[in-house]
Amino acid sequence: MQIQVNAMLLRAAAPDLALLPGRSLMASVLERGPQHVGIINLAGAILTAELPEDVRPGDRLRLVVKEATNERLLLQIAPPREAQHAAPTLQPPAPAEVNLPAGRSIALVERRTGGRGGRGSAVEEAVTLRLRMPALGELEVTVAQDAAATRVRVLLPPEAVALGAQRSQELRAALESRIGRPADVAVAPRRRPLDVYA
Amino acid sequence: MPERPSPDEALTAALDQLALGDLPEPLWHAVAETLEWIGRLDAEAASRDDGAAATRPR
Repeated sequence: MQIQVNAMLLRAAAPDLALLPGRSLMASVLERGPQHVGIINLAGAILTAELPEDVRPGDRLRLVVKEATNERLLLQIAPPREAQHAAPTLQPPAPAEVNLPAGRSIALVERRTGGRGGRGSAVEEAVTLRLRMPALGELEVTVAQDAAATRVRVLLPPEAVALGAQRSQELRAALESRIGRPADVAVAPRRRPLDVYA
Repeated sequence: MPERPSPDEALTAALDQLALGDLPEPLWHAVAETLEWIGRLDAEAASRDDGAAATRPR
């Protein structure tokens, strides 16, 4: 089963999202309209999408990028990771985004396993999260780890990059102390999403 | 699931809600540590904003 979304809208809403074939993304179905059209939360971006018949509001989907062009993104609905190894459980599906007190929110953009680690190290596992914080605004963080090192990449609004860079050594030291392996922390400006309704 | 007291429990608890509680323990700790750092960074950015507002001419 496949889902098709407008790639330009997704790139505008999530400019830092890597849309490479084979990547898996998490999505939740927010609404289902007539015909095959619905609204999904894809890695924190709210989009209309063409949905298969048996997809219902509230469904949480693991989607694998099958084809990405400038105009459209074709995603294959994959079985949940836990379903590949274990019997189904009655646990409710996890949300794509969690709202927190004080106007904060956190969304899972991507969870990646099995990539090539840095400097020829073994398997790398990585998590990318998008957060909205009261003072910093919207930011994105990727934490990747293999047997040799931890790597953190933080994309901050441009006005917060200087502060983040000043404090990056604190995070590096905390990670090395906590995890017991070398850490690298990079802070970079986050591109602002285009206002597609302007 | 890894257990760790955190000064920003809401953010790290959100990891479980996002079904990330099964991350390998070192990666879970790295993510939690990073979220705590972001919380501190946000607090510092807020205090700088407040300071700038206080010194801004009325």
